[in-house]
Amino acid sequence: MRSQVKETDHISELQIIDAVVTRGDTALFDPISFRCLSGQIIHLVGENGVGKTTLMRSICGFRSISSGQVLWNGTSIYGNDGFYLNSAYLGHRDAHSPLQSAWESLHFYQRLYNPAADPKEIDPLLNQLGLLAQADVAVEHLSFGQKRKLAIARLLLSERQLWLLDEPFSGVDRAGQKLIESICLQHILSNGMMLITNHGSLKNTALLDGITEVELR
Amino acid sequence: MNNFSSRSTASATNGSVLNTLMRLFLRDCKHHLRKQSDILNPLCFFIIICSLFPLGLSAERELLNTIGGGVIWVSILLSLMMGLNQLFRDDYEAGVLEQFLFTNTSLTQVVLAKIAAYWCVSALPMIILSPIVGTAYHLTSDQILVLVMGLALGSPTLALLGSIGSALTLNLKNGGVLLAILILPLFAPVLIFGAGMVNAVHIGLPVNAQLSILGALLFGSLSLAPFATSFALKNSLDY
Amino acid sequence: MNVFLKFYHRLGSPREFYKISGTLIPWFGSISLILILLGSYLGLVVAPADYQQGESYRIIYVHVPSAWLSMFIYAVLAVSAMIGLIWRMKMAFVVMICSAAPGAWFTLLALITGSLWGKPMWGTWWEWDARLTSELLLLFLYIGIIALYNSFDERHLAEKSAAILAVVGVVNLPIIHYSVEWWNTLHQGSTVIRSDGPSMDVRMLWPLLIMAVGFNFYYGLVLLLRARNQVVIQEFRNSWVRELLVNKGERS
Repeated sequence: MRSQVKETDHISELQIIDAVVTRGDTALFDPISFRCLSGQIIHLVGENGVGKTTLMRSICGFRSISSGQVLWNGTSIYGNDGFYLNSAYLGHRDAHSPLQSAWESLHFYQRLYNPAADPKEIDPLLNQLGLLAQADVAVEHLSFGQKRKLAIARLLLSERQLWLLDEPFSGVDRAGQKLIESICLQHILSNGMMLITNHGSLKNTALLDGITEVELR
Repeated sequence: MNNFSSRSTASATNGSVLNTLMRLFLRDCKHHLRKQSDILNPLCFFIIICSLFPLGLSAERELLNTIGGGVIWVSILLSLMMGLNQLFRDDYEAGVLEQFLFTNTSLTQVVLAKIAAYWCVSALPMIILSPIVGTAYHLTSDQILVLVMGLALGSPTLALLGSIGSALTLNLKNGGVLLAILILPLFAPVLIFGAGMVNAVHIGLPVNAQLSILGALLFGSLSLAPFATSFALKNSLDY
Repeated sequence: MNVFLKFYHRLGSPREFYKISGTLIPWFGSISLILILLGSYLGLVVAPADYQQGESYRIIYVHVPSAWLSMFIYAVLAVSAMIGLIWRMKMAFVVMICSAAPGAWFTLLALITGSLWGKPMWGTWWEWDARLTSELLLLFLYIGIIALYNSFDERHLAEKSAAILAVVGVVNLPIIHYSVEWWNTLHQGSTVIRSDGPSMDVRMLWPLLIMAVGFNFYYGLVLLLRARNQVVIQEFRNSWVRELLVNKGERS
């Protein structure tokens, strides 16, 4: 398996300090603080609707936090190219255009992330995720789980250090789940880092050892 | 199934801005071509409105000649408004728009490429058809020439200004109607000068002033609208 | 100079604004009432009849100030929108959104009075006159801003979107005005409302100006009242608001 992260020896740090996330004027949960270093996985835990996705999107910078700080290597993420060019986000929406084929969608992202990359790398990547047969199938005809796996393939293409994953396993079957787990593990071992939300615990998975749970209440 | 043939011929490229714009533009064009309603709906709407007016008024030559410029302009304007709703919606709902923030490609480039693709796919066919519709309205060849020139200068401006409204109403429930209310005042000047040219030619007046103003409006909106639109897009991603 | 700067600074804080507006409101209210009454008296009673239009011209004493106000308020709205976007001042957005409805009402008033004036003048309820058409488009701008603001659930999104629209609108406003003027000159004739040329009699001009200033103070009054309410609604989680409400509750 080729290296998944570009700079394999650079230690990076994502730090959240007393972040307060609001919807309307109400704070969704108590101020939250944690650190994520290279090689670590942070699992955001909380009840349904407590605001895990909202927090995730706030860390991505799509919405601002009403107080507190989100720091990447000591600098605030807002307007910080260093953060945005070193992280990759997988949200509730798979980020594939429905009318493109699986291959085309990955090719599009490859050219956005790394214009000089070789398109011939896409087929082996599709193969790794068991999607080679669907390479020319339009995304709108893929199953939910297949679309999710395609999104993971996009993350691999990005070769970025920080992965922000919002419920990556949703809709994926057992086999696919194990596959994604092993990819995530490989990512951590290659000096990557992850922020992940998930329905249910990750403790019974291959990721058990690397996980730190952070609870939102 | 669709013909995805670029797989065998793709190769590595450089990441220059022009290159990126071209790629985004081609991707959006491909998207519109695969989803034919994007092309056909505005075109059909345009033809239908232009056909209804003579039925509602009268087929008298002089009357049609007088109203022709205005009717054609208004129907193109309304058809463009219909399509503006969808301008960013597909990529927004797929989740593609927010991914651009994690790349070197700014949203402004995305906006420019999308507007260009939208114009080529929606406005250009209508502009090409306008001489035919103009003839049906008994417009003279001078008038048709001025009509087409005005549309060529004015429709990109409409697309640019409309994109601001489209971005502002992207994730709203009653977005369609609100979009129309928002951009109507912005469209009025383009309509006034564009349609006014057609009648001016009929009377025998020069149209240089109108052409210059349309050109100025085009360049003005070209330099300012994309920034306003990308700002509004970032606002819409805040959910 | 320092005094003004400090005052301006105080206005920027919602809490201070609330206190300051409390003292200003009676002044604005009484001044606007006096000026409007005075202007109405001078305009309706004292000023002479127009040699061309007779008594029916007197509606300009409402129509023209309304039109002036509708544009002035839009300028205030756009400027506060820009201040809010650039310097992220909460109070700027409060002023922006609280000016929108009064501005829309003044525009509507200008349209209605313009139409009422049209009946004796042209014999019709509506003419596509330059000013009326501009006012109509301005009304659409106002309605658009209000509708856009109210379509969002989250206030900070609503504010930013409405502000963008306001700024885009203000850039287009001169263009719209000029284009409608030009469009209207093609259809010249008796449709031009000749109301505020330099040839106006002084006795007609004074009431007009007084009414305009009176309307201005009235707008100020409405703005202060609405902004006070808006500030309380926006800041209700802050302790000073709770104290305020508790105190008011105790007193009543």
